[in-house]
Amino acid sequence: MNTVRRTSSGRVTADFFTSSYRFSASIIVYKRRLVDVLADRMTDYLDIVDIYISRINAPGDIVATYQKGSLVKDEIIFILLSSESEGISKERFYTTRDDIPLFISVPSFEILGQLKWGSKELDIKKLLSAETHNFLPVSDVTATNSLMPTVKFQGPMALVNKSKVQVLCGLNP
Amino acid sequence: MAHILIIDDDQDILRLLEFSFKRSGHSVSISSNGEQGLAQAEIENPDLIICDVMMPKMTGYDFCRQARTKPDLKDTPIVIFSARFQPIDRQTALDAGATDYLAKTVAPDELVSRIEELLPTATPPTLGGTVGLFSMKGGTGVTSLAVNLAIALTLAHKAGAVLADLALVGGHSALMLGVRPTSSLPKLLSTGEPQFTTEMVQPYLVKHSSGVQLLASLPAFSEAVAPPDRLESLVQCLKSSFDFTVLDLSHLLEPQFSALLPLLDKIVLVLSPDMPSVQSTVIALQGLAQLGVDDQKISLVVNQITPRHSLPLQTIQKVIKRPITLAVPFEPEMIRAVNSGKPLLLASPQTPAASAIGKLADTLFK
Repeated sequence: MNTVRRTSSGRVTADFFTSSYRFSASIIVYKRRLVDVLADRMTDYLDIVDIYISRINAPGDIVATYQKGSLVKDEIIFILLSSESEGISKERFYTTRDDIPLFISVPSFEILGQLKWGSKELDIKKLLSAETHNFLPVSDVTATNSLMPTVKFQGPMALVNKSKVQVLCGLNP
Repeated sequence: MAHILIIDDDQDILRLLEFSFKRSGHSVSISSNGEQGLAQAEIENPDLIICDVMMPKMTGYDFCRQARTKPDLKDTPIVIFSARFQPIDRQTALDAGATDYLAKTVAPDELVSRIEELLPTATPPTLGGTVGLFSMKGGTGVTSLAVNLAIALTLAHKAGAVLADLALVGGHSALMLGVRPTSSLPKLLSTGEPQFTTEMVQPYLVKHSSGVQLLASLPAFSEAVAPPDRLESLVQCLKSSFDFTVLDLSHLLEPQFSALLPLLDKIVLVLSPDMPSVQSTVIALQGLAQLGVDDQKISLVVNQITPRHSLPLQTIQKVIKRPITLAVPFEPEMIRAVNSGKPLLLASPQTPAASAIGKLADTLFK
């Protein structure tokens, strides 16, 4: 149960953040990883089930629950996972990489974390544009709401929507 | 051994936790949503509740808030076990009344050890009291409950308990305890002394290995009678001689037993989840009310004597118009226990039914 929320039915539970809401929900991924489902270019939507909605100013309170819904992938700012494995694509799961400290600014949030990077020198432009995945896996994450800095979220892995990144700063290994 | 109620809509998690806690020697009951879990908790009065947050119908936070308004659940440890793992989620759970919060990232063995730290370990102080169990309808398992309740009280409180089988003739307490009494209640009642004393009663008792002392009924046909004043004197003597007196009263509403009513601290009215028993219970409650019995003394216990086709507890409560104190779940091992003369509480103490009877003992004399 170490990451929990991948059950025998291929369900993964995670927190999906937009600028105003936190959606705790599950997604059926079958035998894929969540990051690979997000990379599926056949659809712009992410079908989620068992949705528990919290407003970002009171993220512990559940204001509504629904059995199913669809998230517009482009509107997701980041996804917080309870395990690292769901955020690393199967195709590079076994690759050895270094951890690079990162600062990322996205709408409403600033994100601190570590990036697993294989090359000798960090190439931010390549990172944001050339990769096939739309969501950037960042480990050991702390996401702080820029307007309400007391509202913080932490987790072993976040998938940050590259199209929402305003600034990305990193240190070379 | 503790009784743990697990509430989660994820069947995989339920199965995993049920297995983990049973392996650690606890009895477990499960529920797949908050509403049902709350009703179950009120009836079972578990030692600890583990509850998910994200569930249909009622969230774990709402479960905590509602549970804390129920007198029987206001002090029960509730551990929220959720996939929402942020510090704010923990704070929200604690604000809602949870005792602790664990994220679903912990391994099952770690969860079990964390939960065991929260279970009450102190031996309860010795109290005492007299309880009478009866049912207006036969076959509801009054005697098996009385036998196991007497054992539960003895073990839990390390106290002296006596079980008196007031069926007079043909009662089954001795059979269920696996003892062979050399004397019986009718013989004791037929002695000429006006008042009973401990010394007089002692030779008529048979001691079971659990520590329970039994005053058995006569295992052969006889036209035995029990004059009300003799019964009253006997029960008064038992009350003064033992910490706990458990009376197996098959016919409490009959005239010769009505003199005992003021002597009882608690009355357990046993019913099975079927319409005839429910109807008899309604009549019994009317009878007890007419006899002026304090309503607070009465506990309703549903004994699920069959594995299926039972009336739902909610239906029974609606018909009876009062809450069920406790439900003893169907337990196939109960039949084996009865047939082998080894009470369920000793033969299969980890079963949910044994745990429920232990809980009844706690509920009656906490």
